[in-house]
Amino acid sequence: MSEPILQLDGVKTHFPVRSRSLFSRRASTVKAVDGVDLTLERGEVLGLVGESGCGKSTLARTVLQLVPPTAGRILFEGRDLCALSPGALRRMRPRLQMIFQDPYASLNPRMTVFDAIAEPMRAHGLAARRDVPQRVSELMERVGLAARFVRKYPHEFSGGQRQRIAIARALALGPALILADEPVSALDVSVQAQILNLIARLCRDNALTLVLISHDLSVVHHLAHRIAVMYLGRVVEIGDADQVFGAALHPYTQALLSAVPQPDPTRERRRIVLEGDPPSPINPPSGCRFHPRCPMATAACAETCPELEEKRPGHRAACLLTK
Amino acid sequence: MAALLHVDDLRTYFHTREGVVRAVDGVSFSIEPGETLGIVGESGSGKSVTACTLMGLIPCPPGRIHSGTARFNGVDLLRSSDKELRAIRGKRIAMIFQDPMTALNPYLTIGTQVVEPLRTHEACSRREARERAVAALDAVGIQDTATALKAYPHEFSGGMRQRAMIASALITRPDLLIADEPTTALDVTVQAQILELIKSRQRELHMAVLFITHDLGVVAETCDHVIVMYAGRIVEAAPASDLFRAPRHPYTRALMASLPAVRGRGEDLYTIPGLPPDLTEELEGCPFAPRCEHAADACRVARCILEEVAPHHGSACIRVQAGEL
Repeated sequence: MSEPILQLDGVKTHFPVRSRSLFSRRASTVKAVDGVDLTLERGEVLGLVGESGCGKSTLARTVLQLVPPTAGRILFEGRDLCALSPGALRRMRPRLQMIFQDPYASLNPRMTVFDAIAEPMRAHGLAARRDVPQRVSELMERVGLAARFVRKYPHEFSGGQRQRIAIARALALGPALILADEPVSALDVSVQAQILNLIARLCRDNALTLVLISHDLSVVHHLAHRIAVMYLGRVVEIGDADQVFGAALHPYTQALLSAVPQPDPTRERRRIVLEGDPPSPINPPSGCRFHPRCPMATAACAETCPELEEKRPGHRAACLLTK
Repeated sequence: MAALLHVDDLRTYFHTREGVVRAVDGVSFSIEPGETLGIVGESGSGKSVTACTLMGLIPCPPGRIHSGTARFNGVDLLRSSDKELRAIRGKRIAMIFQDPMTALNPYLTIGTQVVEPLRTHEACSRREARERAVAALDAVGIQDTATALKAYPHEFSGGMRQRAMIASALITRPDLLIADEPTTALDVTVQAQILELIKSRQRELHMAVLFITHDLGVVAETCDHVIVMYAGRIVEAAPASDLFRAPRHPYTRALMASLPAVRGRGEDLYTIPGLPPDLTEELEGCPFAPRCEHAADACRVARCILEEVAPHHGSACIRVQAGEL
């Protein structure tokens, strides 16, 4: 097997929070990402799912070095991104790009489409000045935007079109890895389908590696080859998309899957309704972090913290109870 | 059985600088006591404007109700005096919203906001109000009610806030609850909790629910009847089981086909070409015709009216009505 494009080794991202009262200055830590190991093969689409606050967005931002990791190594094409000098990291940046959830917020309202797509090429000096217009119109065509819109501003576009602009901008530097953080969750169903088809086509045609972050399990299942499920800063299950969907091993994944409303009223439902909310990442529960909400938890779950173990070929889960 | 709410030919237009936006354009439906009616549609289809019109929440200007009646227990909500409406809104009809953080007042405690409908609508002593607030919070699954009453909305998680909003809405035991995307901002596991909660409270209080959502999955799991809206009009209306088994409008079919869950993995999803129409322009014919793969010439001319094409199953597609599709 070839060298993995991205490898995470025990990555932790903690944020200090200071609670300042009159008499005490206690510092506590939000353990947003708390020990994640992941390997991505070239050309793979990995789906990252979990509820809000589970650390999936922080993990993506950590990979891009938008927030520095507290511990661990992030190897991209064999080089540790955390150990690179700022200049070397900057030269690496074109290879890693991100697409954000809200195309209303991620595009500068005072820049035309042309400027938005040309800016990364200019910043990295990747296109000669006279080639830029040509490159911009090529990119717009690739994402399904008419090149005549090039002088328009973001507010003149619909949400789906704006997301296309954001995708064109991410592609402008010819990246090898794209991290897409909830790229379709702000869009209507019919537009969502268009954008998902576009992302799938671009990945296939350009042999891109994609990390698709979403809370929508059906979106992830549709696109991803493998799925990683996160809970409170840790990966609790990872495996082939069909394995995770068809035969989930971790009780959390099972509950998550059963909670998704299905557009079929005749389907017999065995819904596992979890009690309460996910606990705070400031003070995560002892042992298995899911045990206070787990319908199957035993006494041992409160004490021993399960490691991610291979339970079936290519299918790993962090649970004491699954064999 | 007499309908609890009967809406007939409702038209809500917004008079803006860009022109007249026909947000709701001739919508009729009724809700029976205890029933759950779902309104589905994409953004801009007029589903929220329909609900807000019923509650009198449309700012006027720019909004104006051009026609229609909305009879609730015999009272026309659109033509009543403020005094008559005050006796109904928030008491007999309650509403919950998508985002409980903006719907709740950040300056007031949960307790104050939960008892507010009681203090407005019922002559109720402080002590009785407090007792009923405790019972209401208990009924929506909030533990430690004494602390919760004194808490402020920011101290609650999204799911807890939605529970508090439901407690406040249901404290007067309304006959109709209008739920406008109540679970859209929540995680799936919390969404499952809130949907179960609304269903169980509905059974206990025997109230009707008007459920507005863009999520076909949520509709399938909660609603008895479903209305599909597009460009301010109802394109299809049917019992939920019939709608999902055999949709009778090309738009509904297209919407279902574009869900990622229905296709095999990796296959291209079905997409609806084009964009929803600009509602400031007078629409001739079927509003969906420009995007519809089955559109015929007649579709672009004839005014499409919802007609029964199967028992209790209405479709506004003239080709379906003619038996061609």
